[in-house]
Amino acid sequence: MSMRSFLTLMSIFMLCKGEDSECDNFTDLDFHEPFIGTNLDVRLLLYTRANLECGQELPHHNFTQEPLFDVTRPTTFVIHGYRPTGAPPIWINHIVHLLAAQKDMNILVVDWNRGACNLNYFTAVANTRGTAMNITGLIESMEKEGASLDSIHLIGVSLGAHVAGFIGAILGGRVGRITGLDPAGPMFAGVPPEDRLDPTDAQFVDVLHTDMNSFGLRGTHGHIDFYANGGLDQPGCPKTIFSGKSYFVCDHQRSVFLYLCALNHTCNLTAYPCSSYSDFLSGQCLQCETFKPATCPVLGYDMSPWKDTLLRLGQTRAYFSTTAELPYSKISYRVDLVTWNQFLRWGVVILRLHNGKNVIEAQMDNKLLRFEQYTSSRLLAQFDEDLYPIQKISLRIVTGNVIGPRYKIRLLRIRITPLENPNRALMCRYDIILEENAEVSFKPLPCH
Amino acid sequence: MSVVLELESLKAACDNNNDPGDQGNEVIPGNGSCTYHIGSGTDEVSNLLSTTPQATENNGMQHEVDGVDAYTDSQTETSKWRRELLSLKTELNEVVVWNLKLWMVILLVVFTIALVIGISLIVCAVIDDDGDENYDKSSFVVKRFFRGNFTLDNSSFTSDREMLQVHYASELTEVYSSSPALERYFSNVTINHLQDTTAQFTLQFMMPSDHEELVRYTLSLKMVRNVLFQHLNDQDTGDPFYIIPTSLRMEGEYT
Repeated sequence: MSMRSFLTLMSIFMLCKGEDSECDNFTDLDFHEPFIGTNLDVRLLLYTRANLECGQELPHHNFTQEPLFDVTRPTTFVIHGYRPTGAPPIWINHIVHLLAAQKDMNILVVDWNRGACNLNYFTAVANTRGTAMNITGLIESMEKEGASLDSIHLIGVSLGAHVAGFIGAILGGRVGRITGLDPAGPMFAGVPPEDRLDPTDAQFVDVLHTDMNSFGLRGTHGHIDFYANGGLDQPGCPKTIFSGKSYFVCDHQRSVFLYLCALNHTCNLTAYPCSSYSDFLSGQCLQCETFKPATCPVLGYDMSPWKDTLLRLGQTRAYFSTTAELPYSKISYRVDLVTWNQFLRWGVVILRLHNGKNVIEAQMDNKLLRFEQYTSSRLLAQFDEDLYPIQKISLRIVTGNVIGPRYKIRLLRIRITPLENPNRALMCRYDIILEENAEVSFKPLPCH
Repeated sequence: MSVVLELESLKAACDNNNDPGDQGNEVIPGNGSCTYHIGSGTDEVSNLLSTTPQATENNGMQHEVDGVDAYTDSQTETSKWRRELLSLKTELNEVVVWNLKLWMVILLVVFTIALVIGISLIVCAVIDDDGDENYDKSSFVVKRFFRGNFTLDNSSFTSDREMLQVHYASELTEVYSSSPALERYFSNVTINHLQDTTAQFTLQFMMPSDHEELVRYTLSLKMVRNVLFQHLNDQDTGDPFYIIPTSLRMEGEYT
C-alpha cells in the first residue's frame, strides 16, 4: 500500500517536473550579471491561446516545425526595454493574457534580457540594433512562409520601442503597426528619425508617453502620440528619492500599466487632440468632430475607428488625464458658463457634484477663467469617480482677491456636458448670481 | 557740582582704559562710553547723571578682572548692552524738529502708514460699485412681450378662478422680480385666460433703446422661459397650486 502511494507521488512529481521542463520561461538573470555584463542573446517565446501559461521557445530558423506557430495568424511581438537588474518584467504574463483575449494570434515575447541587462546603459542601447536585426531576420522568414506583414504588430516598451522602430525601418515601414510605450529618452533625444522610432517605421505607429522628463522621449514619434497627464509626471508616483526604486521607474512603468488597463477595457482613456496639455486642461480641445462618427481616440488595442483619420492628419498629439490608481480613468465634463457682468472678471471655478450620498469635487485651478459679458467661457472638469444621476451641483468661484469688495459673478447659464457618456443628458441652470468664494448650490435641469 | 563729578569720573574711566596693562578688546567698550560722555557732556539731561557712577563702576570691574576668562567677557557684554541701550534712549530723546523727539517722529510715521492702509482697506470695502447694480429704470422704454401657457395639476384645481388668477400672477411676478438678471427689465404679468386647467399668461419687459445684445442673451426666449421652468421644477410637489413643469410653453412676441 505504501509502495503504491509512493509510486503515485513519484509519478505526479515526475509529471509536474516534466511539464515544467517543457515550458520555456523568460530569462531570469542573477543579481551579479548586470555587473559583469551580458552578451546579446535573443530568444523568442511563443504564446498562443492554446499555451497561454506555458511559453514555447521558437527556433529562429526552423520555426515551421513548431506546431503551435501558425504564420497565417496575426503575430504580435512584445519587446521589453533596458533591464538593469536582470529580473524578468513583471507585466509579461499579464500582457500575454490580455493580447490573447483581443484576437486569436501568435504572441512572441522577445526575450533579449541577455543584452538588455547591463549596468552600462550604453551597452544595452548598442544591443538594440542587434536585437532588431535578429527579429527582422525572423519576420523575413515568416513572410517567405506566407505571413502577411500587415498583420504584424510590434509592441515595444522603452528601449524596446526603438527596437521595434529599427525592425520597422529595415522592413521599409511595411509592418502593420508599432506601439511604443514610453520610448526611451536617454541617447535618443535629438537624434535623426532613422535612429529612433518614427512614423515611417510602420503603416501605423501609436505611442504613449508617461515620463518624458526622465526616461521617456520628448516629442512626437507616431501617427498618434498619447500623452498621459501631459506625458511628464504621473499622479501617485513618488516625488522624492526617499521612496527608493519606484521614484525612478514609477512614471516610466505607468505607460505599461495604462496600456494593460486599456487592453483589459477596465479603463476608458479617451484622448483629445490638442497642441498642449494646458490647452487641454483649460477645455480648449474637447471637439471630436474630426473623427466623426467615432469619438476622440481611445487608448487601446483596436485603433481601427481612428486609423484612417489619423493617417490623413499625419501626426496627432492627444492628451488625457488619469487618476493615481486603477482604473486610472477620470470622468470628464465640459462646463460652459455665460456671464452678463459688464466688467471682465477672472476666477478659479470649483465644481461639486452630489448624488445624495457622495460628493465629488473638481477644482479647475490650472488657469484663471475669464468671465466676459455674453461670451461663453469653457472649462474641463475632471473627477476621480463617477456619480450618476446627479441631484445637486455646487459652484464656487475663487478670485483670490484679499482686499476690496466681494465681487459678484452673474451667470446667464451654466451648461455641463458629460464627455465619456454621450447618452447622459446635458445639465443646465439659468440665472445664477454668486459672490466670490461663496458656494451656490442648485438642482440641475435638462437643457432645452 | 554734578558736572564736576561727572568730568572727574570720566577722566578716571578714560585713564583706566588707557592703562597699558589693559587688553585692546576690553578697552573698546570703555572707549565708547568715554566718547559718549564727552560728546553729550554739555547736555543737562538728568539721566546722564545716573549713568556716570555706573560707567565708573564698570570700568573698575574691567580693571579688576582684566585678562581673565569668558565669564568676565559676558559681563562686559551685558554692560556694553546696557550702555548701548542707554545711548539709544538718549538718541531717541533727541529733538528732531520743533518739539518733536525722535521716538515721536518714528511713532508718527508708523501710525501714518497704518492709517493709510486702514483707510484704503475701508474705502475698497465700502465702495462696492461693480457697475452692474447701477441702472436707470426710466431709460428702459422699449417693450418686449412673451406669451405662454402652463397646465395646473388636476388635484389642485379649484373653481375659484379669480383667486387662482391672482395667485398665479403674483407667483410669476415673484419669480421674475427675484431673478438677478431679469428683475430690472421685468414690468408686469397678466393671466389672460384660465380655462379648465390651462392658464395663459403674458409677460412684459421694458428694455433700453440699445438692446441688440440684450435680446440675444438676457432677454432671449430661452432665458425667460428657463427662469420660469427651473422655478416650476424647484417647487414642492405637495404645493396646492402645483404647475406641471413640462407643460410650460412660451413664445416671444417682440415689441
